[in-house]
Amino acid sequence: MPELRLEHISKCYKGLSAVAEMEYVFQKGIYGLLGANGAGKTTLLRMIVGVLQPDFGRILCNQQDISHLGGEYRRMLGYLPQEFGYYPNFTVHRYMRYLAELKAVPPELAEERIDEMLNRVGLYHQKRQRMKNLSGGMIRRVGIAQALLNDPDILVLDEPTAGLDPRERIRFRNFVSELGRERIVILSSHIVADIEYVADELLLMRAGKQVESGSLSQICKKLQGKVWESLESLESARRLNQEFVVSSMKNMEEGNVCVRLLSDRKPVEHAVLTEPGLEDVFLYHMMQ
Amino acid sequence: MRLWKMELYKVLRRPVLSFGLFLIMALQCFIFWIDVSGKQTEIDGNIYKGISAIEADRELTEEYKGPFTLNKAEQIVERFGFSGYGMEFGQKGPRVREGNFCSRWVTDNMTDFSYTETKPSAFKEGEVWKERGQQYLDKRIEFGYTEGWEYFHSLWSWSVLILNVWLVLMVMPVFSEEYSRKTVNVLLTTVHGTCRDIWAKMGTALLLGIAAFLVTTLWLLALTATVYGMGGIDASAGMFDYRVLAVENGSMTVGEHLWQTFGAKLAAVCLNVCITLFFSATYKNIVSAVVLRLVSLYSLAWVLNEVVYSLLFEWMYDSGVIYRFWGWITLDILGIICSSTTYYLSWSAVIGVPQNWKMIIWILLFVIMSAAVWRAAVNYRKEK
Repeated sequence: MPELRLEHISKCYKGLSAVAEMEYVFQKGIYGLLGANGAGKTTLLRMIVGVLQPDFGRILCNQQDISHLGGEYRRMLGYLPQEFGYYPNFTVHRYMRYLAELKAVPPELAEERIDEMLNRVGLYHQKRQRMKNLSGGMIRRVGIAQALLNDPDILVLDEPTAGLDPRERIRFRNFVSELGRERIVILSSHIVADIEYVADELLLMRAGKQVESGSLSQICKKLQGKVWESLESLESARRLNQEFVVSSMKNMEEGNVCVRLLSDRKPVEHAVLTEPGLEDVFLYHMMQ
Repeated sequence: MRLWKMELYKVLRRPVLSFGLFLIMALQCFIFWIDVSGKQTEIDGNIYKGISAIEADRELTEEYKGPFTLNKAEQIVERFGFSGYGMEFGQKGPRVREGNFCSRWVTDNMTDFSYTETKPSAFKEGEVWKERGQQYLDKRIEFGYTEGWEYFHSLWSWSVLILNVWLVLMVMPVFSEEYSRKTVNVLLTTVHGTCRDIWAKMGTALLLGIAAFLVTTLWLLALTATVYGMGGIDASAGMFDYRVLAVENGSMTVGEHLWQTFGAKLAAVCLNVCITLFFSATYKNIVSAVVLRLVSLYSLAWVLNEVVYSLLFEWMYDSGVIYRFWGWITLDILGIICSSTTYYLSWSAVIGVPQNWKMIIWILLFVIMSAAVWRAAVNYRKEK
C-alpha cells in the first residue's frame, strides 16, 4: 500500500500564496480536506495528482518523487477534478472506454471494469446515453466511476458531492467508506457533513495553510470548553450573533431561540457547554 | 492503435465540419463543370463546345505532338492564325477566346498578347518572345495537350488553400477542446495522458490532413482524367509553368511536375497541421486560437513576400546593395523563408526556386514541423 508524503510544498499564483509549506503523510484511509472556498484545497489536490508542479517542496510516493515516477505514479492514481470535463457527444460507455485505454486498463478487463463501475454508481442502464443528455448529478457519478476505473491505490476526489442530491450523497458516502479500506482516499469538500461521516483523518486548510489535522475526535477534543448553547430571546440572540461566532440559531417554542456559539469564555450567564462537532471546528478556524 | 482510433473519432465526430470536406469536393466538381461548359474551340472553320471542344483540341494536338520547333509554330499560325478575343476589347458582352488550344498556346507564349490583349500580327518579337518563346524553341520542349493539367494544377492549388482553412477548423480542437471542456485535468493524470495520447492526438491530426489532401487530390485527378484524359502527361511541364524552363532546363515532364507539386502541397498541409497543433496546445481559448491561426495562415507569408521582399528588393537594387554578398544572401534567405510557408507551398512555389534552395527548404520545413509539434506537446503538458 503506497504512502504519500508532502514535504514543505508551496505554490504561488502571481505572487499570491495558494498553498504554503504543506507537510503531511497520507497512508491507507480516508482523508477529508476541509476549507472555505479559496483555501487552496484544489491547488493542493492538483499538485498531488501531478497536474501542477509545486514551486517549492516535493511530493513523495513510497519515498520517490512523483515527478520522477511519471506513468508509474499515474497508474496508481484516480482523480475526480472539481470541474469534471466530458465530451457531450460521447456515450457514457465510449467515454469510459476512452479513459480505460488512457489509464492502461488491459483491454480484456476494460469492459468488465466499466460495467462494474457503472453499476456501482448506478449508471449501468444509462451507458448508451450521450453524456450531454445526463443530469449534473449523473455526470458527477460518471466522474466518480472513471476515477475508479483503474482500481487506483490513491483516489483523489475534489468536491465529489457537488451537484448530487441527498440520496446520491448518502450512497456516495457509503461507497467511499468502502473504498477507504484498501487505499488512500483524499476527499475535498466545503460541505462539512460529507467529510464528517466518512473521513478517518481531517485536514483543515485556511489561506493555503494547514491549520488543523487529526481524527474527528482529536480535532473536536481541542475545541472542548469553547462550544456553548443557550436559550435566548430573539433580541438577545441577535446581540449574541453580532458578538460571537454563532454556529446555529434554532427557533424554539414561545419565541425563544436556541443559540449555539463558539467562545473561549462563557458568553452569557445561563449558557451551557456542549460537545463540539466538525462544523464548530470548521467555523472556529475559519473565523480566526 | 485503439487510442489512435478514439482520437480520430474525436476529430471526426463534428459532422458540420466533416461535411466541409464534401463541400470542398463538390466545389471542385462545380468549378470543373463551369469550366468545361464554357469551353469553345475552333478548328478549320468548325466550332466545338463543351466536352466536344476538349476532344477536338486533344485530337488536333496529337498532330503537333513531339519536340516543339519553329517550323511547328509557323505551321500552327499559318493554319489557324493568332488567337484573339471574339469581341473587340472594351465592347460589352462576354469575351470569347478565338482559335484552338494550339493557336492559343502559340499566341500566349510567343507574342505579347497576354500584355496587350490585341491580336498580334507576328511572333518572334516583344517581351514574351524573349522571356519564353525563344526558350521554348531553344530547349526544344515536348509539345502536347496540357490544358487539362494546367487547369488541374491551378484548381489543385486553390483546393489546397481552402483545405488548409478547413484543416485549421478540424485540427484546432485537438488540444484546445481539452482545455475548454476541462477534460485536460483528467487526461493528464492518466498513464498515457502525457505521452502516448499526445502523440496519438498529433498523429491522427496529421493523418487527417494527409488523408483529406489525398482524397481531394484524387477526386480532382479523377475529374481531370475523365474530362481531359491522361494524355499530355509526358509533355513538357514548361508548356503551362514556364518557371521550370529556367530552373529545370525545360526537361521536366508534366508527370514530374505533378509529382513535385504533390510533394510541395503535401508539405503545405503537414506544415499547416503542425503549426495549428502548436496554436491548439498554446491557446486555451479555442476561438482566439482559430482566429489567430487563420489570420496568420496566409497573410504573414503574403506580407513577407509581397511587401517586405519587394520593398527590400527595390531598395537593394536601387542602392546597389543587391550585388554585395550580404545583399543577395539576405534576399535569398527571405526567398527561402517565403517558399517554406504554407501559402507559397500551396502554390508549389518550391518548383520555381533554384535547385540549391530546395534542400534548404526541405530541411527548414522539417525543423519547423518538429519544433511545432514538440512545443505543442510541451505546452499541453505544462501546468494549466
